Amino acid sequence: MGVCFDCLVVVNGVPDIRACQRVVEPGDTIRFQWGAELPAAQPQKREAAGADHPGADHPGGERPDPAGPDPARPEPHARPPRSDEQSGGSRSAEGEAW
Amino acid sequence: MKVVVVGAGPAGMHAAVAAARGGARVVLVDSAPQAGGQYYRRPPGGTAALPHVFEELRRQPRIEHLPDATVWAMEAVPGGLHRLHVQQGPADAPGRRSMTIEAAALVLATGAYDRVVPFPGWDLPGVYTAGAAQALAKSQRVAVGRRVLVCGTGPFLLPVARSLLAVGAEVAGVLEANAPATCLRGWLRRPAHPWHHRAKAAELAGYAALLARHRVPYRPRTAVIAAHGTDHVEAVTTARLDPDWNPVPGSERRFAVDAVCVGHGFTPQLEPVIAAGCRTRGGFAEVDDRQATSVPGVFAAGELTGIGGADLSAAEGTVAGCAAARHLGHAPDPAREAAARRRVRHWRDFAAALAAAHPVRPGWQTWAADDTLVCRCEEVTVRELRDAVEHHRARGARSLKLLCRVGLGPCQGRICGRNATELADAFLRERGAPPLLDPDAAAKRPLAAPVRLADLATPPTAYEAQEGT
Amino acid sequence: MLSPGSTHADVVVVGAGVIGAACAEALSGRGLRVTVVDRGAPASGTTACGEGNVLVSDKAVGPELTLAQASRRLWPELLDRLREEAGPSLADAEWDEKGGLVVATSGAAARALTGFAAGQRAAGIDARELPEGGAAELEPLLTPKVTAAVHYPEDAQLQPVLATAALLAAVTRRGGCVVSGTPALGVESGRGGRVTAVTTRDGALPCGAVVNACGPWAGHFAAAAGAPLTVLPRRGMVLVTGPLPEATVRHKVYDADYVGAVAGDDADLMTSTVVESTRSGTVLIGSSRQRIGFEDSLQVHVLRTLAAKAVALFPALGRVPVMRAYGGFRPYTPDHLPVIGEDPRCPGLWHATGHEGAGIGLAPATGRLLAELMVGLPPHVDPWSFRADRPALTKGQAQ
Repeated sequence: MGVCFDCLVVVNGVPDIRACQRVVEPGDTIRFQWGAELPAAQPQKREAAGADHPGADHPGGERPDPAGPDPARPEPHARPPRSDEQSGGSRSAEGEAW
Repeated sequence: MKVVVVGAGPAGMHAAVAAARGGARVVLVDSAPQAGGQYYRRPPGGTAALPHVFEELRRQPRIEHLPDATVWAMEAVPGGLHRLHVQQGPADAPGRRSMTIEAAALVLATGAYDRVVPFPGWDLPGVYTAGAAQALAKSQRVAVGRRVLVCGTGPFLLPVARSLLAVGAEVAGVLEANAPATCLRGWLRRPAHPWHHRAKAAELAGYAALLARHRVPYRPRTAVIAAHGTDHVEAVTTARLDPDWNPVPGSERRFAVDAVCVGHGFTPQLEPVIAAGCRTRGGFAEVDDRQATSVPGVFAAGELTGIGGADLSAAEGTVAGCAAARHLGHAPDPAREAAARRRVRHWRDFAAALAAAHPVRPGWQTWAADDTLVCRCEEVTVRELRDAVEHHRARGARSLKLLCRVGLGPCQGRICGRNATELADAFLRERGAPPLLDPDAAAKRPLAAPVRLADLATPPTAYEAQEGT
Repeated sequence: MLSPGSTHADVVVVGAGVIGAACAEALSGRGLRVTVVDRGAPASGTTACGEGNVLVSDKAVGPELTLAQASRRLWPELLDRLREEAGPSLADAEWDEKGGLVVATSGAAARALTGFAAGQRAAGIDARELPEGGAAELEPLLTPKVTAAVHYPEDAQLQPVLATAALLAAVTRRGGCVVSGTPALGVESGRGGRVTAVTTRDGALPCGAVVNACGPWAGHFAAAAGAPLTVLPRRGMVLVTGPLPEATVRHKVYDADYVGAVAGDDADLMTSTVVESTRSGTVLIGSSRQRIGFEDSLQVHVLRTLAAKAVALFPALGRVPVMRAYGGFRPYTPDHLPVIGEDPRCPGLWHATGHEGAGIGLAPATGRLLAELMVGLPPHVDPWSFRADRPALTKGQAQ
């Protein structure tokens, strides 16, 4: 488990998180990830590390409310789910990579 | 001067304890929230029926355990040290604690993950690796389906069936692809066959009784060769197999199930072994009788050196931990080390028999259809792989990737690498060409885990500085 | 596969990377019988490590720019011809005329960039200075700190391994031969020191001429053939992100300091930011230059520097996962010019190497120029600057 990257979800606006590895925390907003996504410009919740994390700006266990979709996200990047993408199935974009 | 152990399964835990007992300071780095690995996976905070090593790990003052910590890169630094680049915090989150740890001796014990060979429908939701199904059952008490079929090869399928039964799933059957004759020959080719391993024999008898009690059929020389469904598994096709795993014509049967658990043996998690520059042999880390790899100061233990189960892993871990402590000038207890080495020799016979008894045979290549995906990340089909070999003349693993995109997606070939290499070799053989020229290229992953760009850009803190040592 | 002595090739090309393949294609297209040998698989060395650049933007006015302009014209023609010969599936090399965008983020860099572009314009390059806000229009996620930007619509990209496979397929169709897994050890010479065969581990391959297209290893082969040449490996690293939505990065975007890094001589680490997407959605982040021999171990500080500069250029990519890093070796020459032509010290030995990071882009013109010189046709670009016996390459080398 943890090696196939087929179960990716978006947690607090951050895509590319393996559902099979991530432990849910109270207040997390989680949704399925359909295909490639850009992370929201700002963290939508205090992210990751504990209060000692240099980027943590919400001291003492306070958590900001999970924000809605970030208005700063550029519109051209929104992409509807592809009909051939299955939950837990492949998430690759069209075409080739190297 | 300290020993760093990567991986806290049976091998890593025993290595940490042995090295600390021998007098070394130990940092045990593990990606899971709690120690134990897949073998001792349990609900958060669960402590039921854990062996003594857990207690010792907790009490040993010379061991620092770093849970939720991912080693994403390793490099050699002057002075014979190995620098590990680590992120600690919730899985895949940006902004995790970023640090480097320098190891004077390194024990690699990252284990192995399930191998699954492709068949039509293997990418449908509802098809799980046997290991994932077991992990969900053991740690979350979740059954992957109501009516589940377990298939593949090896004795590991039995505890998976047990875990599924324990969380209330109906197990429609356990299918072992190899023939009883293959298994028997494997077990008999070694002087120490499992009848000498009374514990293992008793364990097998226990599974047999459990399956009988739940009326779970056990079918040798049988496999799931296709899964069906539109957006989820609804049914599977099974077939009888010949000794090479070719389906016997006319033996196909269809079963209604809502989940399938598949395990065709294991693939070792070799990234740190390759990153440290250690030699491999037959796809595993090459070690001597002290668990030393080809790189001085780097030791490997557990499934990285060969698939042999938790007992062998634990014994190898103890040997590796003692050797790592000795590498730093400590003097671990020779009697304890000698006993562990005896256990290693004993269980290695078992591991060799296991490998001979449960091979993955090439007939699986006939299960996949032309449009079956080999690489799920990049959606590369068997046909496209064949085209890369036949039309674009792929002759090496590296150019194969770039000619058809196989293994270039987020999993970086961890799932498909071996399958793609074996398929390509078969296509080359049909054309009278030699196998891929650089088969190891498929396993080379300098980044052992993804890192967010800004985290990569941020200078890390040295673990040593944080700890004031 | 290889039956020594059984066939006589007009030309043996050593090295099945993009340069060797382009030479073999051009030679076979002029009726010569060509055998290509490689110690590994085709396109598994430097060719497999690049981003697939076909650039005019990064080259200062001079012989390399002239070669680049010729090559930029040739690539689409060549791919069209291969497509006609072999059908679309075999000749799809992901050719993309995406254009380059070079940006400066300081006042001094802005002045240097606009001056550089003005010189290129005089040499016939389409280099469009963008007004304020023009860069953001082309690349919405680019940092607002851009002080100047030049758009180069001619810059293109292709997938080098697919392109090489297509070139080699054409060679095979014309009766040539591609031999993998066979290291070339040196040459045999006859009367007057003329090359008569290439020696390999599996025997000698008789031929009328040999082309050294060994990329960064060309110095080794030249020395083995008795005509030492200064071609050194210059290491580069590339980061690859996970797949991103379409049009996240639209052009090949790079920092104006890239030009300085390419032209630099420093053996120590030099980095400059190059960011571009591929057809699959991954974004490639380069580039680093280091002269550390063939040392290929991972150096995390190089990756960190690349990442820091990329985030500075594209702040929105900060939380994107990097899923792979890989490195390769560019064939470096002290005067930053390729070597194309016959070696007067060893008649019958030809070189086609030393393109540093520009081999993909310069391949078709290199192949064509070499073929023209070999069969005695008027060369389409002046070969003088690329000659093998120029002092920069032979100075200090034993004869």
